[in-house]
Amino acid sequence: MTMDDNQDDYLQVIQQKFLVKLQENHHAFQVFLGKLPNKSYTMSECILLKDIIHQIAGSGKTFGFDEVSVYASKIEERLNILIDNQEDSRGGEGLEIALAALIKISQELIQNNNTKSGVNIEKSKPIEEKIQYQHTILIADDDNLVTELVSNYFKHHNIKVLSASDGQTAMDTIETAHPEIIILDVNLPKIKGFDILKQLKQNADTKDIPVIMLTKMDNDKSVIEGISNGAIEYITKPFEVEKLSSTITSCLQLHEIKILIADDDELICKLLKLRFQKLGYTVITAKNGEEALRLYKESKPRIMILDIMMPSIDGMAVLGQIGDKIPVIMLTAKSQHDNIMSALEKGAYDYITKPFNADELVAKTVGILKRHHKNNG
Amino acid sequence: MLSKILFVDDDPLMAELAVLIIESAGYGVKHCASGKEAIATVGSYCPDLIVLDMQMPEMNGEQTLSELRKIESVKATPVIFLTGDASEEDIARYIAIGAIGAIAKPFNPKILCKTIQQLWDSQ
Repeated sequence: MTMDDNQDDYLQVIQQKFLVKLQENHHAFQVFLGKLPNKSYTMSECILLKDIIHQIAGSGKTFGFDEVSVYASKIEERLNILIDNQEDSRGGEGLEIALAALIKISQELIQNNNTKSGVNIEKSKPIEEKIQYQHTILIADDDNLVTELVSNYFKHHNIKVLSASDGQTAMDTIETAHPEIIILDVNLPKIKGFDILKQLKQNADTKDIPVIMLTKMDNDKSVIEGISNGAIEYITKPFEVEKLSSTITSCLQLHEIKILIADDDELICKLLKLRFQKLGYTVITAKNGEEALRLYKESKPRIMILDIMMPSIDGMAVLGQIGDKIPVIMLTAKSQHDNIMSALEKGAYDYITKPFNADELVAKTVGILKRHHKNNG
Repeated sequence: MLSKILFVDDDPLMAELAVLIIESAGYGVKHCASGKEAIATVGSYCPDLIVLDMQMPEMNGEQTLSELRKIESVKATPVIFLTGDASEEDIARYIAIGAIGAIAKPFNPKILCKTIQQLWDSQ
């Protein structure tokens, strides 16, 4: 087989995947088309649709579907007009025709492909079973087209998106499916977003799941309320799917970073846990040295905050076993100068004297994590 | 000699196609889905050449390039932009900021590797 033959094969595989992507979005396209005559679409829908159409326009031609690219570009252009002049509806002109044309062409392409290759794209129930999803997230929004578009987009990034169109469904889904991240619209039917957030934070099973709130633009009050109730991030509507995507990626990355806090003072553990969780990190706590060593081995934390004075095995002994395998910040009383010196010799990264300023400790920890991330790639 | 290529593009299908083509032409290739990922990757993977998509969320190609230039191992690694804007003026600008050239999007998959090799040879 020559190199060119090989490339033709590859191209065919990718072409089919592209058609699957088109097929997955067909329903959304049709729903949007149905909303055009009486302008019952929302800006969120326009922007999300534009994001997906933009990708189709950009890659269609490379994958050998020039016509799809042409119509997708036209749709993108007109959606941009619609988004820029929100009051003015002239952008809608021609949009209907282009969208209908895109739907028709892709249907023909899919049918051609089915007869030619013998693979029925509609019936092959494509990737649903084949995709190895790495993550599961939940988006709760009463705009079904928004959740559908978001879910279609993330499917190709190996993220499974569950959706809920009201607060009760969201609560039920969270309970059964345990998503890694929850995206909550503030204005949900049945149970409002903030009430869900409060309930989640009160439940031991769900309080550690990062929550991102979706709010209407310029609503500072709801942003503040969300953050103070434990949301780690908020996104204003209408949002771009790429903005959501980068927020989710960084949430997932942060959430994988574990911080181990070992202190026999429960209040300190609680306070610090809350502070780090608000930033999106995962926190585990230990009440004594024994527990700290066990959790260090089990959970592989990225950094450790270690009190020197603890019952059973004290902080110095714990440090003696860990050395400089991960950065350790020691918590010490002011008078323990000798301890500080020997801790640093044993491999401690830094120390903070009690009573300490939580802001300083948090800033120090985050700084160390960032530097380490850079150095270790 | 050109043997290892880092391909940075946020569109998963586009990247899959490019990786298949580049691999089948006998080069080694690694894919990153964002500028951030590329910056993290060059710590352990040292490419001979980097193909950078211009339009990416969070960090675009230009921003990624300027961050990559701060990293010792890829300080001088040749970079090709993948971009929808590839007029002569655009390309002149890309070269001015340190790229060796650009490939226009949408690209023809059949000549992707040829174009990459030509740009590599022309330095």
